[in-house]
Amino acid sequence: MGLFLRALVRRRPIAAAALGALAAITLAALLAPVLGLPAPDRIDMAGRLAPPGPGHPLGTDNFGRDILSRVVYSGRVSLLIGCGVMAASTAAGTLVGLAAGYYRRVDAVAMRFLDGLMSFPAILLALALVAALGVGARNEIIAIALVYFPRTARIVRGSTLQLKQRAFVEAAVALGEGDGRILTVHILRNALTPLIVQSTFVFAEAILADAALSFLGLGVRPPTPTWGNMLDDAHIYLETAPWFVVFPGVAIVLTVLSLNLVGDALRDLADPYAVAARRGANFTAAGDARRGLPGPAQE
Amino acid sequence: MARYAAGRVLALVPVLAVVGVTVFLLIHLIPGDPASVILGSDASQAQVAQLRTALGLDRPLYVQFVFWFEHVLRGDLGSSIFLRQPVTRAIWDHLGPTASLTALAEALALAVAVPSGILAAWKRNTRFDQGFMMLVLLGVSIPSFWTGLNLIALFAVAVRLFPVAGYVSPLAGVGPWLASLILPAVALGFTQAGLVARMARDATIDVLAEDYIRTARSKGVREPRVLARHAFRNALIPTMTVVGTSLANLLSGAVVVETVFVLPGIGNLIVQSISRRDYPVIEGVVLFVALVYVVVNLGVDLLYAALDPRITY
Repeated sequence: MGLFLRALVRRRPIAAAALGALAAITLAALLAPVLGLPAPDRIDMAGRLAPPGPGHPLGTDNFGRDILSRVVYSGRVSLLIGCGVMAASTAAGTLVGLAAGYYRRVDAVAMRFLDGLMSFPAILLALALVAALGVGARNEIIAIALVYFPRTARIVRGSTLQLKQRAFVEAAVALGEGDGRILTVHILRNALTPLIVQSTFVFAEAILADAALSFLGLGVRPPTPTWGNMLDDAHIYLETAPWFVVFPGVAIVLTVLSLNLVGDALRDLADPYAVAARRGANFTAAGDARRGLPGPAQE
Repeated sequence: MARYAAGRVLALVPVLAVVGVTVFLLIHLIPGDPASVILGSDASQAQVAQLRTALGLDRPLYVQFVFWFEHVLRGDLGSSIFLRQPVTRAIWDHLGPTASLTALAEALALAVAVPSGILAAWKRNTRFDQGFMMLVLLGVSIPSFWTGLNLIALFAVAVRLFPVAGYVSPLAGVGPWLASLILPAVALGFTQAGLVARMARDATIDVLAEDYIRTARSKGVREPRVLARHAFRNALIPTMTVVGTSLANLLSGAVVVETVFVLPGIGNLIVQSISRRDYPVIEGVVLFVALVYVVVNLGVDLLYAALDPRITY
């Protein structure tokens, strides 16, 4: 970990800054009650839609509630949903991907199933699932995870297919080790890097999906603030209080951009193939796809 | 080529089967009795029973599926509970704004993304390239509906250049139609441009290292011509693929952007149907959009094979 951080700071300073931003956002969300912020649900109708200024650094909303406090508290819900989706889709994707990559019979069925699920535009399927399951954080996590786990499964399947032909896996088979041990100790452990990289991207996608669902009134409902439902409140006041719509959005973009930057850096530091491509060597993913070669794991 | 096309179409059968089963099962995910959930707490027992029969929910699951599937094959997606019209009719009525919006967003994205991607590849590892990559990443990190809200604040409220919301049919005049679509299309196109531009850059980097580029340069062909004639045309093929696969992103974004700009499109239809608990419409729209996505990608794949004579099947 220390080694990774040093490499990150030296070789990818922007990604290191993004990691710092993520840490700050997470800490602020976790420590929100002890930061000395006004309560996020304290209504002050006399001071509604006040512009940023002393007392309210980011202004107040349509109920006179402090926007800074609400943005920070929103982070608790949005990050929780992001974590939940990441955990659920990583777990499901790993199970399905390992089984599909290792057992040929599972593969044929599982891949058709995953292809089918991936034919739905993400937000649309999540919307329909929430419409059926009902709103609430738990159902939202289930819906978004169902939409994103096929991508993780495909990546794990790809790694498993490559790894199962390696000599150390054949050796383990020859030694009579059980499938469970081979899959976890020999295959999964060696497939962790692409899996972790993919998890950061799923986290980012989940934050965006949550923002869209809450904006449409299908996420966590008010009065509990989320970045998405704050934007839903704010968009009626574009004319009178334009700052209201700015800050929840900035929080979303900062979080998602940081996650994407960290994910990209992780992938490059772990995968010299991608770095060479970035430098312009003649083996990019696009070139491999054209030549019919298996490229690095990607969507 | 014909064999390849037939194979590709055949491979769609299991995918479409999964799509169909998933959509069919949606209504059965509703906790409790879907008929009473749809009608709400005010409905009488008789009304609930009537709707249950109308939706076929009183029959065994496999009978329901066969019945539903037969109708879907005939192009009958059922009837809307709220709008009291066939679902296909409702989709058709809402298709115009969504088709206009996605087409314009894609056109804007391509117009910006392809040239800038090629330029970034040509100037790779310079400041320009770094700035370009940062913009690309920003594009995929911004929710398009938030871009839309900011564009409204800037170009419809602060400077009154465009309408705040609403849709004008192209039949009422091309100018007003474009004016009603430009802000939502820019909001939606920004994300799309990010996806396409990254692929255009990667593909161009790859092409620029090919022998025929070196040959062209050593013949003394000037750099703009090398880029425009030799690199651009070859880099376009992989870029086209990403246009197909990213259509899903575009349609996803359109759902939310339509709500922001109050465009009466497919996205608006599904969001309103959700609040009305009009499940036949929700199912129909999801099925329809998934079909469009699958068919467009089939088209892109076939076009890809037809455009690149080096690809043989």
